[in-house]
Amino acid sequence: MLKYVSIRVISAVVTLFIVITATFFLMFLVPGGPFLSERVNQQTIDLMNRKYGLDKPLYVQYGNYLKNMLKGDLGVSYKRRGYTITEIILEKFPVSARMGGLAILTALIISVPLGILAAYKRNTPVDRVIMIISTFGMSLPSFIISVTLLYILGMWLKVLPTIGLQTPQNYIMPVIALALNPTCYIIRLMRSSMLDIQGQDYLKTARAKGLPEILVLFKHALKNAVIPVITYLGPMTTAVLTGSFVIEKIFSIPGLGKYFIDSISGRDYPMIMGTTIFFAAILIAANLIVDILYSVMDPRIQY
Amino acid sequence: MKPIHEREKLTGELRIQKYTQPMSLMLNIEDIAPATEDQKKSRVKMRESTTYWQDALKRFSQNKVAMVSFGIIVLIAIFAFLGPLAAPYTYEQQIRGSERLFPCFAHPFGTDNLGRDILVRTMTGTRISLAIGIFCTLIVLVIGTLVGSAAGYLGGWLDNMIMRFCEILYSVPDILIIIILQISMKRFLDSAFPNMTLGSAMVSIFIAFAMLYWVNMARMVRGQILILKQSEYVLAAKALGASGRRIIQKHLLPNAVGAIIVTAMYQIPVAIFTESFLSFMGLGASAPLASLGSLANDSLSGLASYPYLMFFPAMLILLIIYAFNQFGDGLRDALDPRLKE
Amino acid sequence: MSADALDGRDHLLNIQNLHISFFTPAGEVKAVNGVSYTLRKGEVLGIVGESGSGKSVSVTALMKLLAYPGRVVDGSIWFDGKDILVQPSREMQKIRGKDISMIFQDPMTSLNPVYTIGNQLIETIRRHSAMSNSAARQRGIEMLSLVGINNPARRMRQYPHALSGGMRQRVMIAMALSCSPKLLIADEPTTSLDVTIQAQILALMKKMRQETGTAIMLITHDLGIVTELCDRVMIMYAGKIVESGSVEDIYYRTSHPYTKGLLDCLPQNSEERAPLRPIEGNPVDLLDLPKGCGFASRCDKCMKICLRETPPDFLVGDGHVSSCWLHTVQNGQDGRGNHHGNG
Repeated sequence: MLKYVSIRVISAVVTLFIVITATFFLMFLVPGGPFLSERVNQQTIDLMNRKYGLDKPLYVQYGNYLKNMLKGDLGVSYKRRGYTITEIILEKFPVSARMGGLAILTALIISVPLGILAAYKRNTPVDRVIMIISTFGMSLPSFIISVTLLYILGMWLKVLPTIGLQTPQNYIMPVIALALNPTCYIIRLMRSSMLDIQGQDYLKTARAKGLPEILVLFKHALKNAVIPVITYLGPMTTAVLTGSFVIEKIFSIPGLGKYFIDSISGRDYPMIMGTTIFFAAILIAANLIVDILYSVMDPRIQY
Repeated sequence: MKPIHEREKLTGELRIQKYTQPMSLMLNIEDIAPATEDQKKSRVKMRESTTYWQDALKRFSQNKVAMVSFGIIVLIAIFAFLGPLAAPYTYEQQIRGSERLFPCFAHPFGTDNLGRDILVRTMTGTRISLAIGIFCTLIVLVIGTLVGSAAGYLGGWLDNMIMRFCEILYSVPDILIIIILQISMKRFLDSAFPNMTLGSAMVSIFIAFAMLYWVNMARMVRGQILILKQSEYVLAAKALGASGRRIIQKHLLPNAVGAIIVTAMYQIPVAIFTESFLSFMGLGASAPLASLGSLANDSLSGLASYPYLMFFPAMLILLIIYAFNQFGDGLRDALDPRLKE
Repeated sequence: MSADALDGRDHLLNIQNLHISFFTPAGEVKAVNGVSYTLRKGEVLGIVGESGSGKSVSVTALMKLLAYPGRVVDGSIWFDGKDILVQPSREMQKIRGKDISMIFQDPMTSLNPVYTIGNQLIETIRRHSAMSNSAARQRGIEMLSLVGINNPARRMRQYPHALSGGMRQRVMIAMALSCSPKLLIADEPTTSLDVTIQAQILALMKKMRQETGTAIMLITHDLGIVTELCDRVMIMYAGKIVESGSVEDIYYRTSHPYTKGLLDCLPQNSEERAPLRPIEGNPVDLLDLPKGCGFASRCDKCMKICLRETPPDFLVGDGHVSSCWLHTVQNGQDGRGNHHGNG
């Protein structure tokens, strides 16, 4: 077990390192550097380049970047002068994380029981309604949901606030918008995995032992059936994170997603790079946790 | 089952089993005459044997949802590719005096603040979405199957390298990779092709898709080939002296080609979604060109007053993605014999 | 009123005129078509037939565990004085695992991979008795050592994947016998095992039968293993019993052409080796059952009447029943006995 975990940790670190390196060199392929777009003379550009260490050879810059990163220093923002990128991330990310965490929780709480219900009532109207809605919800891009909610609940009926995250009511629309896709996906996943398992011999054994259906379902089927859902937790984190980019934009939420998109249009290269690496690190960590959780749930995994 | 009381009666009656003594029945001479081979054979009704593709086509055409989705896709394609030819305006034409019109006869989808016809702009946007879809299918089919089969057949370090690379691409979200690629390619594209109608952001989205979306396919093809390589039935077929052609027809086709088509089909809605997502964030199509995502983005600021500007492009995105997803599901059900009942 | 009272015999199980169909989108698949048999306490009955002959389906119905599109269409099942078909599911749960227990073909998949052996064993025991957890654990360990698993205390803590196929089947047997059932149904218990392990499992079942006195229904497609264990044999074809009788009846006084065909498929140990003869043709289509005898199209003695009418059950010997029109012209047993007698 310990060996398995350490192998997974090492491979996660290697992946992160490759992502950092690739991001760094891709960003520096940008010809002319980050200040070219600004309407300033060559002298100012040189001055700025020197100030930010951009006049040094690429490998020196890369070395410095890595060295600083180990100290938790991702550099400084070009646009928001006087702030380090780490400071900005620490300020903005908790907002996004709270919203994303709530969305993930909501998705799991709603979808797993619905998936089981659909599987248990397969080929009945209950199952069909659940399946039609979830198939539809899966195809619904989060920005369309957000805009629809925003218009109907926020602008037309005026029952929910449309901007920011000040009150608990503010969370309702963004969380629904973020959670809908994963919810619908897990419902389908859970249903098909429950149905797969219905045919398994060990359920026949469990029934032949005289266990009541409730125990067959919730003890013997469920623990096997949630394994695919656990593997989906990684991709779900990704979906929620990227979904937060547009949702924070639509609902004017001052989170890291919105800031990231703003820094792309503002061409704040160190900020883009720092945020990308930060996001990648979070997702790699999420996948690592999921892998470990998976190996705990399924004893067949060879360490 | 019969009602309980009837069964009870039946049970009581039959509990004394009735047996017949040998040679106690009198039969006609004719009846005990040996039956001919033809008479015997006539009882065995062979079910019509169908080929894999006939079977798949039959299953697909019986799937109503999939057929309707296919119809929707065809209609959308007509709308996107033939619609602009029939329209009296172009997507960039600003009609003076017709700004911000509510949907009416001359402009069924209304006009935007510059007097551009939303219907035509939506058609052009849909065209971009479909083009993305077609492009991705081609890329995925060509690169994905090539890389995947190379990795699967050759194995060894090449396989290892490719799979590691896929894993890394997999652990970072597409959107992030596309954004980084977009930024790094933008200046180069701007200087190399200064007058692109698509705009450098769109072109780099295409390039990024080409670089990313083969991964799923490559993994799938590799997996299929590995399974086939060591599967018992291929071995058995070989041992029975089946020709290579027959092995491919009988085993490789149903197993791999179906899965290849399905994987490619599933990549389409993903690509279309990603493009609209990026355009909605202002990282895709730029004015005057419009994609469905950028149309939705343009209408966001005026949502309270002009919701119809949002409604039509959003509905189309939804319809396209939904139709492709359902179509993909239908194809999977039709092409994957393992799900056959 | 119980079956015993009516028959005056110590019947544990009485199945009459059982019809089971699967209602699939393609139509009604008639898996079992009028099967009647009885089983005495402590008796070992072999049910032999090829796949699709309805042998597994009929015992699944007896546990009331038919999967979704399958339904008992007609007939009755009496077990130990109870009409199984009208038992509410709560009552059935008490019967399953306690009075009737079952082991399956593939031990690799019949244990739940995410729970330990101990967990699954204790669960069974505690379900049907008021034992404490530690007492049930003790009983589980006893059962494991009874079925020949060494170091049972350690095995209790292991997950199924850590055990070999033969070991898992032993665990399944331990689990099935842990509540001292009156009837053990073994559905192809050795089919997916190696030949040497097969012999071990058969020996184990023989031993357990002697020690516990439980009745056994052994379902198999292998006539060879039937002789090892069974008192009585039933041969099924296309959802019907074509021949039934004692093991000697079936082997030495073979009556039905299908049984003969099955025996001809067996490699023989006798000195004069007769060539193996496969049964030509394919099994009937259960979706569209033809009139007459189900085996007719594959039978080399097929007569015109066989194609038209279902043969009745002929009593060709004491407790030996064969369902074939040939018995209207000859007295059942052929000279096959001599052939086998020396071997």
